[in-house]
Amino acid sequence: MRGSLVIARKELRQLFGSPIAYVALAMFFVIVGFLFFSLVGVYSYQVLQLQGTPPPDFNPTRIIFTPLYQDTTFVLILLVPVLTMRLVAEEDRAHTMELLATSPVTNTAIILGKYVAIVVLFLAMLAISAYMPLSLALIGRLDWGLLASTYLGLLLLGGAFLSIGLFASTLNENQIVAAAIGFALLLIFWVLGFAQQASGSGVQQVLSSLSFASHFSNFSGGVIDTQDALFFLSLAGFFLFLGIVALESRRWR
Amino acid sequence: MIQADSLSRSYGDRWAIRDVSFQARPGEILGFLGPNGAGKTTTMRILSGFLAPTSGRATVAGYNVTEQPLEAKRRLGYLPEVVPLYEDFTTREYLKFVARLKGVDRRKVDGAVDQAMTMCAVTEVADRLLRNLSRGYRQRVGLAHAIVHDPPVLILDEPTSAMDPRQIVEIRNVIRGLRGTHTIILSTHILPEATAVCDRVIVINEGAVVAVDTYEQLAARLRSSEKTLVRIARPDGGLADRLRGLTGVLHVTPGPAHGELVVEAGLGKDVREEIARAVVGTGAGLLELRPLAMSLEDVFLRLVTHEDAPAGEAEGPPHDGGRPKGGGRA
Repeated sequence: MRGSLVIARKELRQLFGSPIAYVALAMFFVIVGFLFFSLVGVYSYQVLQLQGTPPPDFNPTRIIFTPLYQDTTFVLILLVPVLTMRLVAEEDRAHTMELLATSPVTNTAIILGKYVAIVVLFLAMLAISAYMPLSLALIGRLDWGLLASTYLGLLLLGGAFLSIGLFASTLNENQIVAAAIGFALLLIFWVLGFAQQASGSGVQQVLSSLSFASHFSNFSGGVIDTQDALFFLSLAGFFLFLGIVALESRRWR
Repeated sequence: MIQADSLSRSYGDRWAIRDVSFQARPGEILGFLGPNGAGKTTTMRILSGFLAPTSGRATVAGYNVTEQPLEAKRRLGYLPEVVPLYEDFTTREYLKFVARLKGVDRRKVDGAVDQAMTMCAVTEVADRLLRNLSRGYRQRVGLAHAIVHDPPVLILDEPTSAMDPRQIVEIRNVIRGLRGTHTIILSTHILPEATAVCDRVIVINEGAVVAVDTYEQLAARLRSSEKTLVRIARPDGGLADRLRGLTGVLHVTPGPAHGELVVEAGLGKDVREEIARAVVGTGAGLLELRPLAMSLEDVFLRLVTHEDAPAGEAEGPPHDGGRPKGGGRA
């Protein structure tokens, strides 16, 4: 456990001591910021059309933030591999993995330390993104319960994404290849959601329960279902486990 | 302190090392000598726990490296062939991280880092980024990172590579200063290094241990005759035949330069007096007379090139432990 914290601290020092974290955060906020801007535009246009007589279910949180955060998940598919690609691959390239692997820490501690660090970066990103609802809260009333459930969903989804990216990084010492593998893995889970519409009912159920989108849409709709939470948590656990196995298997290759 | 019992390691169907056994006694410096690709790094990686052996077992400070890896690693300092540096850290930051990683008590980290930096003479680059350091400094920071947690066992893979002669002397002094309190294995393909710092030498070639002994004994064991070099002013005139006639002389061969002769006598026989008398008697003009010792290069080449060994024997691992394969006398 102590080893994990030492490694997590080193990772954070490296993440924030290099351009990677800042470039990734900047890319994220430019794209999501633009989405936010255009959704607010759409909302104001609708308000004008309704001429001050909104239907009872007319809710700015649902019109602006539900689509915004659903699109954010797609941005994360592109962003997460960039954040995670160097985690293990760079240690391999610089031969520093030999230091970690011959230190009195387990492979589990190495993977968890790296995971904790990247989750901290992700939390920072989510925290900064709260400026969007907070700025609207100054001039209107928002549905805080719905937002809380959406953020919980984003956190769980991000946790699963990051573990997939971290696993991909253990597979190749080239960062670009690691990012490509991570991107492909994330995209497969995304595409499963499309495929379910075109398949038979039995297969459809399997595909839809494996798809990120269907689990996340419950959170962004304000429904916190333990099934969805468990899906993301077990996905994160599974890929962290694969990462540990990948490190362990190196001693035998 | 370090024990290797018939370690083998294969990559696919190629054996990197086969049946390597040796041990390092507490407090000694053991040299690991061999040509490139002999299996030095593989052996050291197994001892450090970075690689698992295909078969065999290794213990460090009494702990089996595959069964109790954390206990073994806690007592081990390992300097790999490529120094594992985080380029975007300063020397001090890096060593602090390593100290914490190796489990040094939080309050003792600063002291341990300062001590390691002083020992390896890197204090003047303490606040410079590792990426800007010269190769000699990088190597010394590497040595500092291996000793920062003051481990009883040190495994150093080519610790003096990429250093200039003055730095090599300094690092050797650091390593010699650790003798007695630390058990050290260091690998090298630089022969004088083995004689300069090591108590005993393991010669490894093609994945198998060829010999384990002190350098002097290796040389003595490989020597099959006493050789004497004779340099004379006027070489012609049948001196060689006269020398051949002396009792105890086996061969007389022309030496490396003009006017030189190499006289080989049976082992343990000192024929220098007779030679001198014979040369003076013929009036050839004696300029020099000296015994030829075997250099470490000779020993090494004799061990790793199996000129005398039958072809079949050279393939398999040696079953006689430390006996040299190509040697004339055991």
